Amino acid sequence: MSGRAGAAAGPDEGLRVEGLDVALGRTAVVRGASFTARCGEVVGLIGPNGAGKSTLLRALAGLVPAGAGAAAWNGRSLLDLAPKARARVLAYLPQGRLIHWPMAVQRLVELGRLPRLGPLGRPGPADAEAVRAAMAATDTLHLAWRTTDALSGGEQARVLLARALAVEAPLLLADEPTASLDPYHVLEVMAALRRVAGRGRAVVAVLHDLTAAAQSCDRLVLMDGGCVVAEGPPEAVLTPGRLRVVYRVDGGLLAGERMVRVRALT
Amino acid sequence: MVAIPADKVGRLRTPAVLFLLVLAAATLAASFVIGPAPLRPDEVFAALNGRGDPVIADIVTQIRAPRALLAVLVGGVLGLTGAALQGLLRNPLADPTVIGVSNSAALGAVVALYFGLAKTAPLALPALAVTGAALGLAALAPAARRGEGPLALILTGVAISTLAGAAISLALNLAPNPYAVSEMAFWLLGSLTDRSLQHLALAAPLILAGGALILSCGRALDALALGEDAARSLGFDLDRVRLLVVAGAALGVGAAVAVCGSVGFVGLVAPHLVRPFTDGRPSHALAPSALVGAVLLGLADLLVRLIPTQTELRLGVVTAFLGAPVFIAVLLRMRRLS
Repeated sequence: MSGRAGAAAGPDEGLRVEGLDVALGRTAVVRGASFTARCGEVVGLIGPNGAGKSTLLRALAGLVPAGAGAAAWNGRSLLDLAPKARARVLAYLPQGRLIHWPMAVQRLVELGRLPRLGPLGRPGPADAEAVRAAMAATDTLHLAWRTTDALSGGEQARVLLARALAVEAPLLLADEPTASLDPYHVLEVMAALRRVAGRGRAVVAVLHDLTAAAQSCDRLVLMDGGCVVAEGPPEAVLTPGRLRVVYRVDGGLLAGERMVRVRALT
Repeated sequence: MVAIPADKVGRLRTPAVLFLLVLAAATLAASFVIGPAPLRPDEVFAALNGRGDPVIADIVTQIRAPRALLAVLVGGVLGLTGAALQGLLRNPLADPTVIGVSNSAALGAVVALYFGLAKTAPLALPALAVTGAALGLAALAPAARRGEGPLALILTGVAISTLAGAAISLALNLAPNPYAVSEMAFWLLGSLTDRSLQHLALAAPLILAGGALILSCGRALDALALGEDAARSLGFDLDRVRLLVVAGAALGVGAAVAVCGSVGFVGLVAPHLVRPFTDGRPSHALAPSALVGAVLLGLADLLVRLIPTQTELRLGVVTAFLGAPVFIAVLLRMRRLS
C-alpha cells in the first residue's frame, strides 16, 4: 500500500478524503472529515442522524460543492472532475429508493450504463454483460421483466443497487442501502456489497444498522456533529465509550461476535 | 391502465409505432378528402400532381394541405412536449396547456398581432409567442425547483395560465379591435380553420427545431426517472437539460400557438395513451407521443369539420372533451398513490 503522505498518494490507493469541509448554505455540515476506502474494502459510514454522513457522501459524488479539503481517487482529485468523467469513477446510490416512473427492472438497471454510452451510441455486448452481472450480484435476474411498481421494498432496494453496480465504477457510494429492510434483505444487500468489494472495487455505505455494519464492513468511519470521530475496524470503533458519547446508548460489540447490543442509558 | 404481461413490457412498442404511423398517414389523407366540399381521392391526387380542375387544385394546395400538415405538426409537437415535460418535471399532469405555456405563448402572439408588430415584421409573431412560452416556463421554475410535490406545480401552472388568459383579454380590449370576443375564442381554444401556407412556413421550422432539441434530451429524461441526484451522478448536467427542454418546448409550443392558438390537453393525453405500450422509460414515450398527438389533433380537426354546427367548432372544444376526463382520471390515481 502507498504511503500516508497526502501528496505522495499512490495510484492504487483508492479513495482518500482529507480535511473536507462541506457547508449547506451557511451551516457547516461536515468539518474536516478525513478517511480512506481502499480497493476491495467495504467501509461503513456510521453515526447518529444529522451527523453529516449523507452530506459527506453527496459532496464526494459532486452533488453539493465541497469547501476546503481534498478528496482523491487513486491520487486524482475527485472534486474538480467533469460530470461525465466523475460518472465513470464513482457510482452513487441515493437515499430513499426513488423511482418516478414505473419501468421494467431490466431497463432501470440499464440506466446505469448511460455514462458509458456516447450521445448516439447503442448499448453493446459489454453493456449487456455489465447489466447481467449487476443483476446477478443483487439476485434480481428473475425480476428482469417485472415493472418496478410491482416490487417489494427489498426487491426495489436490490434493483436500485443493481442500477448503481451496472455503472461498473471502481468506487460505489451508497446512502443507506439497507434502510427499512427486514433482516434477511439487510444481509442480502450487505452480501452484495461484499461481492462488489471482492471484485476489487471500493464501497462506502452509509449505514444505521450497527450489527450489519460490524459484520459486513472491513472498517467503519464514525461521524458525529459533522466530524469524523473514529475510523478503524469495527471492534476498534464500536466501543462502549463511543456508543455512549456519540449515540447516547449503552452497549457495545458482544464478546467474540460481531453483534452490537444497545440499550437506553441508565 | 392497460395491464401488460410481465415479459411483454416494452415489446409492444415497435408494432404500436408502425400502427401509429399508418394511423397518422390515414388521418392526414382523410384531412385532404373531408371538408365543406368533399373531394374524391383521385381528385386530390390529381391536384397534388398539378393536374385536374384548378378550383380543386386551389382547395387542395391552399386550404387542405396547410391545414392537414399543421394539424400533424402542431399535434406532434404538443404530444412530444407533453411527454418531455412530464419526464422533466416528473409529473404525470404536466402539459403545455395545464402548466400555462400555451396561454403565455398566445399572449405573446396577441401582443404581436394587435399592436401592429406582426405587420411591420412578420417574424415578430412567432418570436413573441416563443418568448411568451419561455417566460411562462420560467415563471414555473420556482415551483418546479422547490419540489413541493406534483400538485403545487400544477396549481402554479393554473395560475400562470389564468393570468395569461386574462392578459390576452385585456390586450384584445385595449387594441382597436371590434372582434375581440371571437378573437378571444381563437386564442384560448385554437383553430386550424383558414390557415395558409404562410402560417405553415412560419411555424414548421420552429416546430421541427424545438422537437429536435427535445429529442436530444431523451437519455437525460430516462436518468431523471431515478431522481435528480442519481441523474447528476450519471454524468448529466441538469441545468443544461432543463435549458434544452425548456427551449425546445418554448420554440415548439410557441410556434404552434402563434399560428393556431392554444389547443388544450393533447400534450397531456398523448403520453398517457402511449406509456402502457412502452417499457416505462421516458425517452421511449417521446416519439410515439408525437405520433399520437398528431393523430389526435388530426382526428379532432376532422370532427370539427364533420359536426354540423352553425359556426365551425373550435379545436380546443373537441380536445377538452377528450382531455379533461383523462386529467381527472390521472389526478385521482395520483391521490390514491400518494
